[in-house]
Amino acid sequence: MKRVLLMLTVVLALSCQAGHEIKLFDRPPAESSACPCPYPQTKSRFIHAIEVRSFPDVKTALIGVTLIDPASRSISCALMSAEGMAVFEASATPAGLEISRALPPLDSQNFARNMMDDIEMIFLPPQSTDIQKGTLADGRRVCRYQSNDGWLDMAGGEGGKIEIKRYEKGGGLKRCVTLAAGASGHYEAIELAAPGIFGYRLTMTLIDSQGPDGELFVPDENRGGDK
Amino acid sequence: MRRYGAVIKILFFCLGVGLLWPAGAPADDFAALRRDAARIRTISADFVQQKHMKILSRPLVSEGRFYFAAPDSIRWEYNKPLKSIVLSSGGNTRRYFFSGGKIIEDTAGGAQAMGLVLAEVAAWMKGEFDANPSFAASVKEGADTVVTMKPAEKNMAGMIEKIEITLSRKEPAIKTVRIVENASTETRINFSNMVINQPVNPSLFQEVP
Repeated sequence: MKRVLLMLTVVLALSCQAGHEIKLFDRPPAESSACPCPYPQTKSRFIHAIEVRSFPDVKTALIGVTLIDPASRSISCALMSAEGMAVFEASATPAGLEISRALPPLDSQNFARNMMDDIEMIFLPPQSTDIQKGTLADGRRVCRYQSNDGWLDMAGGEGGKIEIKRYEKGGGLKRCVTLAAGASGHYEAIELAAPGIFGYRLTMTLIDSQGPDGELFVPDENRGGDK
Repeated sequence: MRRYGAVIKILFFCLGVGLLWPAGAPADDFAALRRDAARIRTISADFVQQKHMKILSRPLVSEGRFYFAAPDSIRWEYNKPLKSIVLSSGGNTRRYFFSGGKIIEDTAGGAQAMGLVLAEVAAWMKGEFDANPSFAASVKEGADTVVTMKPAEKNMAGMIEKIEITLSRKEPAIKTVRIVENASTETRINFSNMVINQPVNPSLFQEVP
C-alpha cells in the first residue's frame, strides 16, 4: 500500500512537471499572437461535482458553486456535501478574503486562501502585462505571464484543451489545471493537480452554469415545492 | 469534524422525526408517538431536495430515495446531481460516490461522522424524540402539522437556525423537511411515494448500487 501511495505521489509530482523551458518567438507569427482565453467575460455562476483525491488515500466528492465577476475580479464560492450541507462559503475581492462558513476540517485560513487562489487561476485571466510567447519543448505554443512570485503558463492542447500551470519563482510547479472544451464551454470538465507529498487532485464535472442575472437569491415567495 | 458531525446529526434527526411522525397523533404527546413509531418496520420514499443559498440564483435540486428497516438499517441515496449513497446497518456506516461509472467508497471521514448520527437515528426510530436535549421543539396545528425545532446547543449558533417538519394530517406521511441554516441558506426536502411496512430487500442496506 505504501508503495502504491509513493508511486501515486511521484506521479502527481511529475505528471505536470516536465518541460517548463520555452523557446521564445523572435517575432510572434500572427496566428499565434492570441493567447488562450477560456475565461468568462461577464458575471457567471458554475456548479460542479468535485471529486477530491488527496494524501494519504482520501477520496470524497462534493458539490461546488462558484460565482465569478470578472469586472471586479471578485469570487464567491461554496462547497457542500452530497446531502446538501454547506461546509464552506467564502468570497474574495482584491480587497481581501471573507469566510462566512467553514466547518472542520476546512476551517483553516490556509485552506481558504489556497482555494481562492485555485479558483482565481481557473476562472479569472492573469493580471500580468509581462507576457512572453513561444513554444514548449513538445512544440505547443505557450503564453507565459510573469509575476513577482513566479509565472503562469497557458498552452493549448489536443481537442481544444487548455493547460494552465503555475510555477513559483524557483521553477517548482505549484498547480496544473486542464480545461477540457465541451459543449458548455471550457469549464465542462476541469482537472486540477497540486503536486507534492501533501498534494491533491480535483476532478470537476459541470452540473450547471448560469449567466449574469443580477439576482443572487430567490425570494421565498418564488420558491418551488410545497408551501 | 465534531461540528460537522453535529450538523449532520441534526439533519438526520429531523429526517428521522419527520419520516416517523404518525399522522393524527396528538402533536405534543411523545408517549403516543413512541407507541406509533414502534409499529413501523420499513419505510421507503422518493425525495426531491432543494438547496437555497445566496450564491445560487435558483435552487440546486437533488433527487433520490430513502429506505429504512427496523431496527437500524438506513439507505440514503441521491440519484442526481451527485450520485451518492450512505448505507448504515448494525453500527457500520459507509458512504459511496460514483465516478466514471465506478463506485468509490468515500474515505474522507464523513461516513464515520454519519455513523455516529445514524446510531442516534436508530434510537429515534423507537420514537425517543423528546429524549434528545439538542433541540427545543414546538408544534403548530393547522391544515398540516408543523413541528419546529431549534438547536438548544450553543455550538450550533450560526450553523442551524431551525428545522421545520410539515406533516400531513390526512395520511401517515411527512410532506416536507425544511432545514434553515441562516437567512439565505436552507434545505427543503419534499417526500413522495412513501410506502410503510412493505418488504424491503435487506441487500439494499448492505450493497451498492
